[in-house]
Amino acid sequence: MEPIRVNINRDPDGCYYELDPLSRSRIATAHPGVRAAPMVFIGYKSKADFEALHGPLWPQIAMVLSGLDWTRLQALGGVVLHDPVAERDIADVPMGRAA
Amino acid sequence: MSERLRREYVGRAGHLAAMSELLWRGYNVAVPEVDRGDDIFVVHDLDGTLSRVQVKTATGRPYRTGRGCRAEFSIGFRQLARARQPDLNYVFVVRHDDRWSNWVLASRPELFLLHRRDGVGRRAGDNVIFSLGLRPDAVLSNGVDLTAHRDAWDRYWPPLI
Repeated sequence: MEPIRVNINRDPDGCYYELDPLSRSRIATAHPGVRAAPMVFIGYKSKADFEALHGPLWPQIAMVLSGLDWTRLQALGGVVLHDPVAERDIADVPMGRAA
Repeated sequence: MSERLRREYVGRAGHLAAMSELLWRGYNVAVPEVDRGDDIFVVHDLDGTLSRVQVKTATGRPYRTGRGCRAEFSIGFRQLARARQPDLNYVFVVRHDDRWSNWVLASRPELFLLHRRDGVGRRAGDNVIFSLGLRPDAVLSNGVDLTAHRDAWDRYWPPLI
């Protein structure tokens, strides 16, 4: 099963996150009526902060963007971070990172 | 006039036509001093809301049979795929029959969804080419009905005046 993809756009001040359109469609089909944020922005002061600050937040970001809890996201195939321009997955999003 | 120069004139004309419509609706408009991919900043003066607009202009090629035309627009894939805040809105302007005959509007996430899910627009290197068939009763692209996006100004910028 294809994972749910969270698209990431890194800017100098931080990152914009949104669900990949195909993942959004899958969630809308599997869970009609679910309400979710269309986009999340989280800033950082330096690029070194990216992994340290953002990594632990990725599961929460996925839940905010999908409107689903982690169990339901896992049932849909889990979550990966995706670079939509390069069109490649760049990181898995394990729930353990939030612990 | 060279083709490159002609395109600049056509593009600028569509750009100003879009600005005119936004002003008519009561929104303030500004052109960024530095080109970072946005053609127009649209400002709701009362609440300060800002939106970004990219205008794409094309000259319609009339159909041989029946009324209407076909028009093509090129968008950078990088721009289409990347979320920003405020996010981008696309305004497609078509010149046909000696007038601005069609406006087709879509937000970046909507257009990206149409591209990824429904196959609207074809990749050509770093760009995506959107070919719109504009009939009096419908707007189609790759068999997908985009009629709801025609003249959809009220959805994005409802009149303030």
